[in-house]
Amino acid sequence: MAPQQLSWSSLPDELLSVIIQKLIDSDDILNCAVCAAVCSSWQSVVKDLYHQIRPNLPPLLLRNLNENCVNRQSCTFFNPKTNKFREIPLPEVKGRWVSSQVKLPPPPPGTQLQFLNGLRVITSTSPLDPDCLVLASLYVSSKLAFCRPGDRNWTSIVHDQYIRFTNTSARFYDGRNCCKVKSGRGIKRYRTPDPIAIHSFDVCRSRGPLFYKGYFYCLGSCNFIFRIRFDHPHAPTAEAMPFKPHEFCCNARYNYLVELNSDLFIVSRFLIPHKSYPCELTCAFIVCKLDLETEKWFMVNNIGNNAVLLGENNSTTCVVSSDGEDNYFRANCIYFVDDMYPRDIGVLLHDFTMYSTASTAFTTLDNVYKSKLASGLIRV
Amino acid sequence: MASSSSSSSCSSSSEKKITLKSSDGEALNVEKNVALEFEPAKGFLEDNSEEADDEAIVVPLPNVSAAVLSELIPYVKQRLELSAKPVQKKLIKAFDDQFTRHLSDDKLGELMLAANYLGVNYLLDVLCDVTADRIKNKSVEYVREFLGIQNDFTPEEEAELRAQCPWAFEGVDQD
Repeated sequence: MAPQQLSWSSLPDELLSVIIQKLIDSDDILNCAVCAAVCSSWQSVVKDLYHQIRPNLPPLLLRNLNENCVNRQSCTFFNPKTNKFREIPLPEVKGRWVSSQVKLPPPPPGTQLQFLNGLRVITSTSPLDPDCLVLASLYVSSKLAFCRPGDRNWTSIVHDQYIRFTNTSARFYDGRNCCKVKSGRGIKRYRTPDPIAIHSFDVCRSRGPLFYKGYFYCLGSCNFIFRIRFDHPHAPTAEAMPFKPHEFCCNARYNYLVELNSDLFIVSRFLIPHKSYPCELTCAFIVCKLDLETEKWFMVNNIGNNAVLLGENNSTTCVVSSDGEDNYFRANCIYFVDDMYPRDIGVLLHDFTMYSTASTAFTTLDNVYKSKLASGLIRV
Repeated sequence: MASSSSSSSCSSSSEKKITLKSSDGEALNVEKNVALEFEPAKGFLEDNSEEADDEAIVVPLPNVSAAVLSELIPYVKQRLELSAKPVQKKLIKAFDDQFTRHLSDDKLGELMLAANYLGVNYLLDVLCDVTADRIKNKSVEYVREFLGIQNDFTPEEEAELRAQCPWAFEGVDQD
């Protein structure tokens, strides 16, 4: 009898490609990456197939919140095109917001950057990109640090001690498969590697901070917007911006920094108590745009061809094409998730709602979304 | 499975037997309709159709062992009987599941090669599904070992891949 090794390795290429196709079907980016790392012929098969299977709209990352999943170390992707969910187990998610895709260096001993609850990590591009930046923030002690894949240590980001990072971590803007990072030698553009454009499915729990025009921008408490400079690679600094957030931000429950058509926006979200449950509901949004010349904010009631998706702690935007093909979101609308914790029921309720910026009307979306307990939307 | 009714449906063909000769020289008697499911056998029978007595025909299958053939023949036979009847797809799927569930990894590979050589496409599709399922959400090394694939990346390339996506090498599911 032929030994096992012989039989499998003599599989003809066309069979391999059928198997690989089956593996990476249904937008399974994880298996896609594994297949590409097996050997060079698999890599080229994946490369060929990837362009065929690449979905028009990227899947959304949903935070896992089903009733059994308090200790569940996984995350769930939602594909708006197929209405399908895919759960991917993560080794490190419990109590931390750490992407499994990035091997994080251990914190240097004696530093304040302890790995505690509240650590949030995001990446600038796919962690497969050697130039990818990993940014970590620690909510409790308001520390920010970054590293690159392969680094042995975190590099702390020096910031003014009076600037407190609230709900922070920052968000990298990665439009058009690239990300720009300001370094000592000017602005560098990093392309997301193709074909396996995996983005961090972690994690950014920030309510708005983002990577915008070469910098991270974060919303701080004390009504500051600050940005993080990478001019000196080993001592990045955070600096307060001269323009403050508009006055609505103080009263809003959540403020999200958002980039739309390369302008900077703040989406402010207001909540009121629920009538019958001890929880709160979103009641209004105010969208303001920054005029970079005058450094002033202007309220807008039209966000054009864009849809904004707001999670509990993060936001993302997508452009809705005007030809109406393959649109899963409506233009000029804000999609958001409400988490409700009615104690007398003892379960989490989640509501996925659409807010039309033009008509200021709220529409609760159908049960496909609701039943899956979506929270924390992030586009990947 | 419903064998009582099906045995009668192929009783006419069961009279006609063909002999298949495996790679290890064993001769296996099969019904002609089963043999016709195997592309090389079908071709051989067409080429030798002037032969009056089917019983005398011995079809050589030099790429398939007797052990694999004796797994394949009952499968193909039952599958033929199933698909001859207006049964639901669900039933066929259940039958396929039952057939593949207990296959060892080695056997799976052998069957896949055999199904490919013999051109039994419906079986091939099922086997590809099963293979994909078995290496889904596994680490790179698991996949390599499972399929006996020689890692042809240079040590530098390999190190780079590992640095870039170490999780791919760690395995997502418990192996």
